[in-house]
Amino acid sequence: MSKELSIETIHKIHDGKTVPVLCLAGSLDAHTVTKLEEAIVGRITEGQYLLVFDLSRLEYVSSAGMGLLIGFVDELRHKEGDMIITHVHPNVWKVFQILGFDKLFVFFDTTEAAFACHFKTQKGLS
Amino acid sequence: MFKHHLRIPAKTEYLSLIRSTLKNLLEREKWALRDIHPVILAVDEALTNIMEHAASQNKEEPVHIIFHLTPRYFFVSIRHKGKPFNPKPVSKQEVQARLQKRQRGGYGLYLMHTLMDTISYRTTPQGNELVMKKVWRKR
Repeated sequence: MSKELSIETIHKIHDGKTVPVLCLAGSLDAHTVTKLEEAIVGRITEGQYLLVFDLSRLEYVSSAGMGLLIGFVDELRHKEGDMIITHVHPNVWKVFQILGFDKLFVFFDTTEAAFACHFKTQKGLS
Repeated sequence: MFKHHLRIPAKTEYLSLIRSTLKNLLEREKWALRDIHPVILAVDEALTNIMEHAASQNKEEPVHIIFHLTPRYFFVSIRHKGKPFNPKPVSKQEVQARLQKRQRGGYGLYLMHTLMDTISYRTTPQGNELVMKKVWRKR
């Protein structure tokens, strides 16, 4: 929980659509949060509104990191996208729960399950 | 009892160093991992508040952190000479209201009060002091 934050973006293709998966590792705190903010803004600027966050290697998050995610969720949903979170570390999950953020986001065990659910919902709406 | 004194600039880049140090100290006192994380998070939130709000005018002014540790007891004193910062309790309703409004900040105090047993604060001519305490409980 003392590591710096690293972000690796993997582009996955599902049903012909490219979806960025942001794989976070290390710690997300008041210092490293700007790095994630830049990454999210970068994807939105590219016109990508469905963002998947793989948190399997994110060992630590403080309220500064949680607050950042809150700030983007409505914008993404208004543009028919979403913020999907997968593979949450137990320490991080506990913070989601204490703050009640677990009711705001959509969580999946795997990226594939996240895609399947999201695109099924999108088809249902169209 | 083990006592450890750290002095750092009021800059968030030092948060990871404090978390790492505290983790090592608690492990040395045989604290279980599941009990270590809440303590580290509460200290991180307290320092973040001080660095970003109370001590924002002079980042070079040191923040003094004193840990007192035993296998059953954790105590931290954080002293700084910035603006007084009163960590008053935040209710769950306030947190939910902030969440509804999608506010990015204001969750740290709630975490501190939820994760620690007692929190006190005092302002003296020498500066401000935040004290947090956690007692390990057998499960």
